Amino acid sequence: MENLTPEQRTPVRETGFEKARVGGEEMIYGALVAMTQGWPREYALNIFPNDRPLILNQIAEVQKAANDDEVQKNLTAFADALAAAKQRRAAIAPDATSRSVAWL
Amino acid sequence: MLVALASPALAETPSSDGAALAARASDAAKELRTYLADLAKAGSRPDFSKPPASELFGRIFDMNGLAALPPPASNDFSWLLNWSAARGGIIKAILTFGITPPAGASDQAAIERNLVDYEDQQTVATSFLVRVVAREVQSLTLFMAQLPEDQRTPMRQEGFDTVRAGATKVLSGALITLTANARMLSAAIRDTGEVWVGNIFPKDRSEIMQEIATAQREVKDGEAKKNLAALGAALARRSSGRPL
Repeated sequence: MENLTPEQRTPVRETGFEKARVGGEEMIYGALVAMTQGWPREYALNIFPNDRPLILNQIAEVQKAANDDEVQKNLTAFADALAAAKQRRAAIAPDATSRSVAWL
Repeated sequence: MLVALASPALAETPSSDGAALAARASDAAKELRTYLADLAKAGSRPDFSKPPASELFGRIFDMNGLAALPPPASNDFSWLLNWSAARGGIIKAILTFGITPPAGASDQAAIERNLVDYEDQQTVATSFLVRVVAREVQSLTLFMAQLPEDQRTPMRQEGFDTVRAGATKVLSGALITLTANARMLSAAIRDTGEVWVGNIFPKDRSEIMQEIATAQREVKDGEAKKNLAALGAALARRSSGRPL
């Protein structure tokens, strides 16, 4: 590729950047699943309050940047799962005033 | 206590150095995006050779800061996510500078111009990406390893496998972009070689090895060729079952 002019090599590089970008977004999705799923619900409800702001922020950021359908679909499903956890938590402890609940 | 039982890694205080660098990168990314948007509105183009663009860019893709961090830990991922979001948005913002989203076919010329004008920035960004992604894989590997057996669920393993597959795409994309600045990027690939050899799925190895061979043929720089050859040889040894 070094033998090509900058103009000639740009489409190839564009493909590479796009592949790297999508791979990076898939990594974030996979990491979120690995870190937060599979927990028993009662544990998840206690853990999510501390981590949810960061996780939801990351999902929103990645969704903004992603134009890949599969990545979008995965992230939307994950954000929905977190929102459902939030609702369940609110139903369980609507009047709680602990620091964890304040994060909800 | 439940938090600690369910997630020892996330319950720990994140590495303050890494968290601070990630927060700094996140702030710089917001500032740089605003700066780029203002320039685009004014019909100007960014000059990354001088402030504020050079300084903001340097804070986001802080290669020295990343290199100076302590070894990866299982609780790194909380701040690595922050850093990932910051750098991912900026790579795209530079690539699509001057384009009103969503980019369409008529924007191809603008993208090509950005690729040519900001080739150095894209190389730095991709080199950083390779290094930080390797750290993400290492951190998550440690996270998975410290989980009690009953928490290593199939869904969690699937998430980890997605991370490894995504990381392989990052490496593959980086290999495809290797150009005149091959030495910097190939050094990042060489330095993180152990992570790649350990985490590229067997089904993906031959494709990556082909991409390495192609890149080796195309780069002129002797050191870059050597860096690429090192990873190619390590992957070949892994494939043949010989010691690394």
